[in-house]
Amino acid sequence: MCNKFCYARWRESGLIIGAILLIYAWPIVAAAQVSSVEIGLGYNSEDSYRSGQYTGLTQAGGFAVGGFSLLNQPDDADNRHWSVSGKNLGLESASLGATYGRWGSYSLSLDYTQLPHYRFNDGRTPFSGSGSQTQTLPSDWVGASSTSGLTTLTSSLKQVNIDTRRDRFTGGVEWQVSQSWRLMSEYRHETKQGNAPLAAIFGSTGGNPRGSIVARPVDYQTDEITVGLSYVKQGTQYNFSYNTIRFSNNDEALRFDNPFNNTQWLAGANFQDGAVGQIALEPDNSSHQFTFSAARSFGSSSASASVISTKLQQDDHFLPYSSVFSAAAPLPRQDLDAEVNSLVTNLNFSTRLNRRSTLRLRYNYRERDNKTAQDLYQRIPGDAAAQGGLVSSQTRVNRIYDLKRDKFSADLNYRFTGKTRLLASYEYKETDRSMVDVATTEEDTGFIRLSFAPSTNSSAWIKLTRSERRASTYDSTVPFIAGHNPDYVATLVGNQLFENDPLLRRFHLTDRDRDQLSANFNFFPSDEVSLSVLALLAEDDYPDAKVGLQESNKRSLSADLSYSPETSWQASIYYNYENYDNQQSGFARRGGGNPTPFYPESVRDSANNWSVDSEDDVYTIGAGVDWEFMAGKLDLALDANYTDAQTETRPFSPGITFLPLADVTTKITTLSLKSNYRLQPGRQLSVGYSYERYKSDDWALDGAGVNTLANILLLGNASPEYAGHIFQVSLIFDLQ
Amino acid sequence: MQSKKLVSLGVSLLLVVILSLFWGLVVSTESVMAQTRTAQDQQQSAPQAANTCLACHNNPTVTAIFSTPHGVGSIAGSASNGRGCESCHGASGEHASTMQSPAVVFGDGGGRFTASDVEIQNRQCLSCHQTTETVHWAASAHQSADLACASCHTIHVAPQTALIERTDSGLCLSCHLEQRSQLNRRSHHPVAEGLMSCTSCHNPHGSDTVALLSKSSITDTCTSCHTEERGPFLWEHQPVTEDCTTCHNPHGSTQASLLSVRQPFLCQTCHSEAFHPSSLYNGTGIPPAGAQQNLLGTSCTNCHSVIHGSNHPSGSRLTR
Repeated sequence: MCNKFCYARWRESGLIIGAILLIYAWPIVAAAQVSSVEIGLGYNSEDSYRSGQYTGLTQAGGFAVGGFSLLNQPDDADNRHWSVSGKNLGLESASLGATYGRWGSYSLSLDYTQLPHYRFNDGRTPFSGSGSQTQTLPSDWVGASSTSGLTTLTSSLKQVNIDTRRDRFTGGVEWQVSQSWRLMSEYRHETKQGNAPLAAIFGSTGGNPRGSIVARPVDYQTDEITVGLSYVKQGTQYNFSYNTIRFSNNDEALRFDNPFNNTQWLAGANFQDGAVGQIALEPDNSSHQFTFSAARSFGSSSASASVISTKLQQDDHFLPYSSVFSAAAPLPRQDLDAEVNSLVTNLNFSTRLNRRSTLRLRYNYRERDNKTAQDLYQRIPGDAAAQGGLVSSQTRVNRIYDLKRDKFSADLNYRFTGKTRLLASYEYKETDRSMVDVATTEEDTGFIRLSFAPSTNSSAWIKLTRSERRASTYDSTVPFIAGHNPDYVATLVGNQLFENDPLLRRFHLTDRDRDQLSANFNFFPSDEVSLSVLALLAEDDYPDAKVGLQESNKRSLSADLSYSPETSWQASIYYNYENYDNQQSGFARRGGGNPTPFYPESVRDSANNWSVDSEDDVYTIGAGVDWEFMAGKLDLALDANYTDAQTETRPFSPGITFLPLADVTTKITTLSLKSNYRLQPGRQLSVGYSYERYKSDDWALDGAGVNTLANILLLGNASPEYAGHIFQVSLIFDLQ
Repeated sequence: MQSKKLVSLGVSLLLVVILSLFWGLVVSTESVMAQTRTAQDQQQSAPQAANTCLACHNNPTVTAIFSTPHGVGSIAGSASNGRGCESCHGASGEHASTMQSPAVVFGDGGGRFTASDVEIQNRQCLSCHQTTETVHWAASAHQSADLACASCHTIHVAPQTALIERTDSGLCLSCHLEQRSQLNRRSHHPVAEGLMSCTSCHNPHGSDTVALLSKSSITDTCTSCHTEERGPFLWEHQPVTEDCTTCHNPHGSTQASLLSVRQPFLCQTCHSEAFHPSSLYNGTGIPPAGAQQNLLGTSCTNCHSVIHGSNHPSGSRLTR
């Protein structure tokens, strides 16, 4: 276990290193030419995880305000530069940074940042050990086959908070070895600790699972090193770099007591007492990436090429098929020994054809080659279930997803007289995939964009895009056959070789027609006023899909109006409206037997057809003002935003009983006001106020208590709703 | 676990060694630099190369450049080296004698002169700034949109104090209005809060990858922070291996977890197996009419919670 111990050690190491550097650098620090220190207090009025999700201000009460900045402004005789800064020092989102170097020679940078993420604190669970690898139920727990029979649930509930925090340390070195050669290196060490919701599924009856949402542990560590060397001379550039990332998860698995008692599991056995389920958490992984790129300019042309080769590996030990009993069939291997190689190649060429036109040609190749071995895994659906036979639907083969993509594009940019320009582009993309429904897709995309100036004080562009993607034969049997024991597949007839409805067309694989029209208009009626308007209409149509996504449309309109009569004050207001509309269809299959036979469309009962239209409408309006009064003695910054989002879901079926779903709404109002007053030379008083109001209604959360569902214990958190005020007062000392 | 401790300890020691070596490098380089500073450095003290210009332009908004790399004599092409201000503004003899426009006028011309063509402005910058960051500038989205370097960068400005908030995201969002709205939604990356910036993912100077991403693919971009989702898992979820944006909208969403469409409907666009995946989910599953486990709570991920992949030998349905 390398949890808080490691964290503390890193922090101690950082402090020691920082102290050593400070001793060495103190004479320089003392010579700081620009330095500011901010000290103050703040008050948060509201207890809310959501309002403090990225600041850590989740509880009402006071907090400290701190920041500092030291930097020099070197003269030409001594171009040594350095800076030391700290931000948000009273908050959990604090950061520290330092740079040192000589311009044109070398530089060193160090940075430490905390990134909290608070999600909710109104969850409740009967489990002890939230956020740890082992979660247990009270000793007096009484199991039942569904949540309504869990008689000791209410008395066992405990509050659970869901949050994580990243601590990121980065360091970088750049060294201009000579006029042409430059060496650089970067290092990142990052930890992420806390917890997150995870479904702990123990078993099922007739396809209905039994499980609980619990707070799993999050204890990650990522280390990244990059080393690069570049050569630049007279229009020629070569770059080589090596990057390695190592991810470590300090928790291998989540183990949890089973809250349910069901005699259907494993021939009457009762797993209520002492039965522990187990889920695999993310395995450690490591990657090595080599990048080589070259670029050359010659005359009015330039060309560049790059090759990026990456190897990603993972070899964590497998957990057993079941944590409850020893499986009859052993694991085919003790770890996956996975390896995925990827290769990206880019070629670019651009040239000026004549005084008015330029041409750009691009080629991109991307390959994902999964080298991982395939095996037969006699899966056990839940820890309490029996292991199926080798020749059965329960035995699965891990599918290997490979991908190869070739992309070619040509852009022609033609300049007419004045500011009128035409950009025409064509792109061809071909993608080959393995073990999915479609082997090959081809996509042609073309757009034209006309930029022009309607008047001397305005500019505009309009862009029209058309894209057509066509898939090779859509064969829904491919993923089924690839994912099952070939001996089992051989026992099935043709219309049984499906997992998904054969009429389904997965939207990212199938035919698609895409049309987009976008336009922008900028108007500058005077030097003080500017108006920018952007509009977009986009339609995606999936003509071959009888089941699945049919259409996906987007409309948006944005406008920004700015007024800046003088440098001492400026104001702006912006508006945005977006509408997303997704139309999908389905066919409710109850089937019979497993796997469920497919019945052709001609003999289907159309009463089981259904459709859902999901529509998001989002309005955002915001305003900002920056104002300097009293000959620069007082400055004021105001920022306000209002977002109103509504998700409307309209289900329909000719034969299935249905009721409409309530709209899901979110309304967020934020207001931020900050003012600095110069008390005297070198002293500023800073006063800040911010307000946030969050109101949401979400049927997935509101009214869904811990035991609302029959088979799943939820955390029972509601959608957030709050209105909070934050006040800040601080003094800023300018010490130069 | 013991090996992990050793690795962590090893990495800690490596870090200390790297820092120590770097500090040694700093000291030794300082020494070498002090001894071998070029004659050019010695000869061209800061404002000398720009003396003619400073005779008229000796005000803080101009001279601030001498506190930046663009004013350091030891850097070729700076305002204190060789051609002085003409390094960027081009031959300006006519300007000095007759007050005509200098050869290259950046930005909007300040109301006195007509700004030079964007291509001419940018050529001046790119003549020095040939780096891995700018290698794809030619014909990039921002270059095609006629953006000048000076549209985003201000050269004649002294370093600011760190007490001023980062402004790079605000700069991008002044044009990218849709993304400005999306970053204010229920689920979003912490860009507005200042913990991330647009350049955490994008390279505004051009890229070989879609949407000016800095990494070589969308998936690489996302998993550089979300490293736990890289796998490779025994049971992979195919779209995860190809493109995270199949399900997620990275800038912000009205749905939880940056999902582009609400569960279970998002899942049902690709899954229509018999029984529960193909059912019509509707108001009959919401209290008080009912309580459907594929609608309430976290919907499909109430059970299929390791949705990005599983390494459990029994986890083919992404429940374990």
